[in-house]
Amino acid sequence: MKLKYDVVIVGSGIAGPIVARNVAKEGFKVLMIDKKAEIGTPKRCGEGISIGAFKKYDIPYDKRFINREIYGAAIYSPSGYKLEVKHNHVAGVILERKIFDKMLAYYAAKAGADIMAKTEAIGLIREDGKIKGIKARHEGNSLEIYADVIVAADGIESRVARWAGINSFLPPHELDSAYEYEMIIENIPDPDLIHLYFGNEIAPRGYVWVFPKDEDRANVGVGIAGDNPRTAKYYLDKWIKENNIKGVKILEVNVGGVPVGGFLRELVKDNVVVVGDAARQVNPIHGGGMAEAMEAGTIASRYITKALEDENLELLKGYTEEWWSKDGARLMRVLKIRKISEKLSDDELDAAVQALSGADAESLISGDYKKVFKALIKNPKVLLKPKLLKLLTEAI
Amino acid sequence: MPKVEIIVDKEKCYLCGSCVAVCPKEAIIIENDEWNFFFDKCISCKFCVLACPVGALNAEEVEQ
Repeated sequence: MKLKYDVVIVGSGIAGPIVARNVAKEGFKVLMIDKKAEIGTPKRCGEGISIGAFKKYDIPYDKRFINREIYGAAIYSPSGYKLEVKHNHVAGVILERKIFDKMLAYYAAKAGADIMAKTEAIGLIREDGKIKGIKARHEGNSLEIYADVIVAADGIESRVARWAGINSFLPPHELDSAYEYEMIIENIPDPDLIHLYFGNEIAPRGYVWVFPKDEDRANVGVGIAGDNPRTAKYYLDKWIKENNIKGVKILEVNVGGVPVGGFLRELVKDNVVVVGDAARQVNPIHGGGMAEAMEAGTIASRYITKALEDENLELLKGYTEEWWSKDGARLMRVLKIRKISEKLSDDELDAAVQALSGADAESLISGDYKKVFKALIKNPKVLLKPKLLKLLTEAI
Repeated sequence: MPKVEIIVDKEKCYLCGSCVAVCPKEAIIIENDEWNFFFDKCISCKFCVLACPVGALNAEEVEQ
């Protein structure tokens, strides 16, 4: 079967539906396909997102996909020193991605986009040396989807970008290997906060997270450096065993890779546009990528709309430029900090957490690392750790 | 470096795609809910084995 659209989007996660909705809203003919029979499943996510994302990206605050409102975060050092920030207002939420992703696709559909689940991209259509669309398959039937613009929103395992000749290979060190249980946990220290546990024995390069969905139910997961010889599963099971976690009953097992670095330089090639995990657009410190995918999707939509309006596909390249000058530049700064923090010993992590105040944590969350580092290098606990001091000084 | 074949333990694999992302040569592809390995493309770097969150992949040395 042959189909013709202005834009075909491969992948209905976070970035895909944002692009589909925004471009369809401008009156263009959009098709979004997803290989999964059920959009949103299985999740590969801790499901936490900051409250600001709803307004910023025009997403309804719909209780159907909000499990729990969260008021802040607690960070634990290897020896158990705690740094806590708790607001008197909602700071973020723990979503139900199964419903959230499906609703994002629904909003795209309401804006006029066509959606096809259980439809997998299997190759590009090339004619006269030009990319003309996507070959796909649905229940054994072949589809030829012709489109002026092709959007690769096909996640960590993206094939569309590679087909187009974009090298999206991610070295194992730039990947976090993640494993998570959605489970009953009866002793969450404070179910109104997210809890993050750091340490080289706990989660090499990463952290263990407890994201409460109820007072006694949470996403409990771990991310570790992808080149670590042990598995993420090993570290999560070890943490649960060693920390006297009560009432463990496993409701879901979630597994995934998180790109933490290696942001694609080339976000557009000819008429192919790459967004979200496929473009490695994830915060390399905490591994969250939903807000980043929304941001990239929003920028990409503007340039796709412009390129279609002006019938000039060269304009798509503006997306690469704008993303790199804004979110790309920010994420590169975050990556620089990550590269320093991953070198810290447990002893140094303890010292850093002890030296930090609640106000510092606020600055860290808002991304003002320099301010915090400047304060830290004057702290007596930090002054006693020459390597930590040197790393912090380098970062400033 | 001896040439290897990557073997998947289907009972453990979640088809999460981490191995696909870290493969420099597109020697692993997940399509139609199946994990596929292409021996001719593999350069035996074993990045996939390292990256797998559950230890579902093993590299077996092959005699050339």
